[in-house]
Amino acid sequence: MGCPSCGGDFRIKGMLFYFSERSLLRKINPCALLSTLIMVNLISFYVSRGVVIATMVLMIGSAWVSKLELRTWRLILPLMTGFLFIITIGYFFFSQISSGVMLWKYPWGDFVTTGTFIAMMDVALRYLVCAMATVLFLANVRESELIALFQSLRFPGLVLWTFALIFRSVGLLVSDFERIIEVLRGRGVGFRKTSLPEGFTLLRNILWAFMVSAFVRMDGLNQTLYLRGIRKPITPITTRKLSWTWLDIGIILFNLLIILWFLRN
Amino acid sequence: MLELEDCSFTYPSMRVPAFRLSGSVRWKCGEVVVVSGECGSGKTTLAKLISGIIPLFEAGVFEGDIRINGKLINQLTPEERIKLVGCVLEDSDLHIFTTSVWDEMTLGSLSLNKDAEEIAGQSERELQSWQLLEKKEKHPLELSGGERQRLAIASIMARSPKIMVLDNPFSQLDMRNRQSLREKLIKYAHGGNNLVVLLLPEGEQADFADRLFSLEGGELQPFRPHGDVHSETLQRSRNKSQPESVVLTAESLEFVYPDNTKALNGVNLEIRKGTWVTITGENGSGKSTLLKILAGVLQPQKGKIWLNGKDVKGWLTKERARIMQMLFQDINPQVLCPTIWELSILPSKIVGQISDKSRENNLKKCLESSELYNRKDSDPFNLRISERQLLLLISLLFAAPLVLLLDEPFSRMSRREQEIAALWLNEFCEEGGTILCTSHGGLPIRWHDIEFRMVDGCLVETEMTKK
Repeated sequence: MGCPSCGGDFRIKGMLFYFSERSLLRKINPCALLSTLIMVNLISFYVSRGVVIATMVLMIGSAWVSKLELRTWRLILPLMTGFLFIITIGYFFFSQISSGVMLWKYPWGDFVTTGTFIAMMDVALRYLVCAMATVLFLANVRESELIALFQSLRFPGLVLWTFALIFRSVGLLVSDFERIIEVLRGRGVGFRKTSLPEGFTLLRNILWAFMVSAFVRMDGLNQTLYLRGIRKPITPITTRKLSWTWLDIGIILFNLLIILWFLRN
Repeated sequence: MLELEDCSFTYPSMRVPAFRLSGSVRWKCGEVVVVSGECGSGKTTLAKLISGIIPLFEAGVFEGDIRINGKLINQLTPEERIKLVGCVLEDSDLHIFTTSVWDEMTLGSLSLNKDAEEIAGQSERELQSWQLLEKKEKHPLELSGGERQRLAIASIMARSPKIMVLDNPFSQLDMRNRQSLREKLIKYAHGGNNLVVLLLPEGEQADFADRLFSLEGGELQPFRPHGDVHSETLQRSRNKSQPESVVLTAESLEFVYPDNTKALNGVNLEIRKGTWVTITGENGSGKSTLLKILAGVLQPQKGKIWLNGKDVKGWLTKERARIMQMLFQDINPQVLCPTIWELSILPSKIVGQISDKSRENNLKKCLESSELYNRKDSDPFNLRISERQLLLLISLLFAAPLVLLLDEPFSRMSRREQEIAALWLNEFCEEGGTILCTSHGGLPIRWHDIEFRMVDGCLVETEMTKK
C-alpha cells in the first residue's frame, strides 16, 4: 500500500525535502541538473519577459514530472514571501524609474511611477524563476550525490569537506528544527493563533532550543568524525558513484553552449 | 591488551574525580567485560578516557596510566588510537553525520583505505545482519530510537576495532534486539579475539560477560551483586470496585509515512480514567507514532480519536494539550528553556494553567526529590540525560493534564530515578490521571494496570491484560 497523502508514491527524505523515487528528474545525473540550475539562474536576468514566463511554465512542468508535493512549495513559501516583500520595499521607497506616469515623490528624492510597478513585477518574476529552479534542484538531488559529484570532478579535499559539512549540517539542523516544532505542537502551541507576546516567547523558546541543539550537534560532529577515524580533509567522503547517460552529456553541452553564448553577448 | 593502573580523572567543574581506580586491571582480547553502575557513577567518563575523547575534546585532570597493547595511551596518536578503539556513546543521536543510513554505515570504513566496492559489499552485509538493509536510503533521524542505536553500533563495528567500548548500548533496544546484540558482541569478542567493554546501568542483564566490574561513586571495583532491579515500594492496586469513565478512545487509526512505511494498521484503543496502560513492542513497531497521533503531532490518514467522549477533530492544539501532554523519546529537542525552573513550568504556561501555592510546592518537592531544585537556575543541558528526562516528566506533571502520553520514559533513567518517577506516576493515576506509556523492554508488572503489545501496527492484548 502506498502513502495516501502522496498518491501511493514512495518518498525519501533528502537534505531538505521529501523526494519521489519515481521522479523523472531523478533519472538525470546531478551534474546535468546542476548545470541547468546555473544556466537558469544566469539567463533569467538577461532574457526577455516572454522567455522568463516560458521558463516558469517549464519549471511548473518539471515540478509535475518530478512529482513534487504541494507541501514542498508551502515550506519555502515564507522565504519567498519575505524575499518578494524586500523587493517591493526596495522598489516602492528607494527607486527612481522614470518610465510611465509619475505617481508620487519622496522627500529623499526617490519616486514611484507606473513603470516602477512593471519593473518590480518583472524582477520579482525573474527571482521567482531562480527560486523555483533551486527548489526543483534541491528536491531531486541528495546531498551525498552532490558530494559524489564534486568528488568525481576531482575537487580538492578541503573544498569537498567544506561542502560536505555545510550540506550535511544543514540537513541535520533542519531535522532538529522540525523536531523542536513537533515538541511545541505536542505541548499545545498553535502556531496560527498566537498573540504577539506569546509569539515572542515562542520565538525565544525555539531559538534557544535550536541554538543549543546546533551547538551540541556541532560538538557531537567533531567527536563522531574522530570516532569514525575520519581525518579531514584526507579521507574521501562518500562511496556513492554517479551514472552517466548520453542524455546527461547532451543536457550539459546544451547548458554550456547557452551560458557561453550569453557571456559572449 | 587494555590496562588501567591507579588512574583518576577530574572534570574542571568538579572537586572529586569522576572516575578513579586504585590498583590495576588488565582486560585481554577475547573477553567481554561488563562495568555496571548507577547514572553518574563514571561510566561515560571511562568510555571517553579509553576512546581518547578525553583529553582531545574534553579538558580535565588525568592521573595514572592507561595502556593499550603495552603502550601508554597518551603516547599513541589520535589516528593510532582510533584504529584500535571503537566507541559508541550513549547519546547515539548526536553521532549522526549524514542524511542516509547507507552513508552513515559506510562513513567509518572510508578511513580504512579500502576499495569503494569492498566497502559497499561489506556495508550491505552488515546492514543485512542488523536488519537495516531495507532502510538504507532513509534519513537516520527518521529511524526509531532502537534502529538508530543499532546503526550507530553497526557503523563503528564495521571498522573492526580491536577494542570496542559501548556505553549503555541496550537503552533503546527491544528484547529481541538486545539478545541479538549480546550474541553479536560475544561473537565479536570470542570469535574475532577482540576486547568488548560494556558500560551498563545497574540491573541490566550481564550474565553473558566474562568479567564483571562495578562503578560506585566513580570508583572501579570488582563486581558486587545487588538485589532485584526494582524495589517493592510501588505496588499498584488493580481491584477497582467501580469502573471509571472512558477518557481516551481511538478507533481504526491508520498511518503511513511518506516513505511508504505503514506504522499503524487499524489501532483501536479505549482507556479508562485513572489507569496506567503500557504498550510494549519491537523497535519500529509504531509505538511512538501512535502516541504522536494521539497528541495531535501527526495526523492519521484514517480513524478517529475521542477525548472525554468528544471527537478531537477541529480542536485547537492548546485545547488538546490541556487534557493531554506528551513526553517525547528524543530528549534534546524538548529542552526549550535556558534554566531548569523555566523548563519545569513551560508546559503549564503554554496551556495557560494557573499556578497556585500548593501546586508550586508540589513542583518544588518533585525537583528536590530528584536533586534538581538546588540547581534550578542552571542550564538543563548541564544535566545528565536521565536527569533531563526526569525534569521533563516533572514539567508535564506540573501542567496537570488528564492524560499523560509517555514515549519510553524510563529508557535512560537509573534504577533509583525509575523508582522516583514510577512513584510520581502512580500518585498521578491515584488522583484520577491516566497514563499511556510505551516501553520496548516492558515495565515491572506491578507498575501498570494494562499492557498491550504493538505488532505490525496493531495492538494485541498481552496475557496480563487478558487476565
